[in-house]
Amino acid sequence: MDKVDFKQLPLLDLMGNPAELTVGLQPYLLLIFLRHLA
Amino acid sequence: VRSHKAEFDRRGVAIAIVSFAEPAKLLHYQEEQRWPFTMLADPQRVAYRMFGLKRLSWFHVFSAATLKLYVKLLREGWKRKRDYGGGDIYQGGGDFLLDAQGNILFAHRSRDPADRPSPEKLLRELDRLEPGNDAVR
Repeated sequence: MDKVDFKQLPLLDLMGNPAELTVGLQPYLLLIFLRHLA
Repeated sequence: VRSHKAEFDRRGVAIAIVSFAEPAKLLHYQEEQRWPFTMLADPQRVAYRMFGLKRLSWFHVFSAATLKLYVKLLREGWKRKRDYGGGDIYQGGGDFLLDAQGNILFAHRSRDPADRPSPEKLLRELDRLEPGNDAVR
């Protein structure tokens, strides 16, 4: 996978609502996928 | 990454954390940890699969590198304060740098729990990026 459609990522905010991932005004986004919470 | 946040800010990098924990557990976790980043939940692990993040084999999860990591964390004062019910210890993590169009400029999929790029490595990758350059993968 070379490119991501941000609108296709089914992510939720901390209240459980759909959250669209955006870079906002920044040119880059670092996306960190955690393992289990510790 | 938290200790290098200013360096990421200076380079124009927004940071988002994704967990496969349920949002309520992640909210509780964030109330205690107070990470200065956007926290997002992916309990169905759809995004994990989209980014090619697989479950790790047991010999990677319980590797010498993992043991070394936990010894290092304990020496640095890390204490497991609470069981957040994080669940699946075999799920792999990863780090991805994207541009505003969603192009993946850098990808790191962890082979074991200790296998994460250092903040310095991520910053070096950022410094290699220049407008018009091909993506770095």
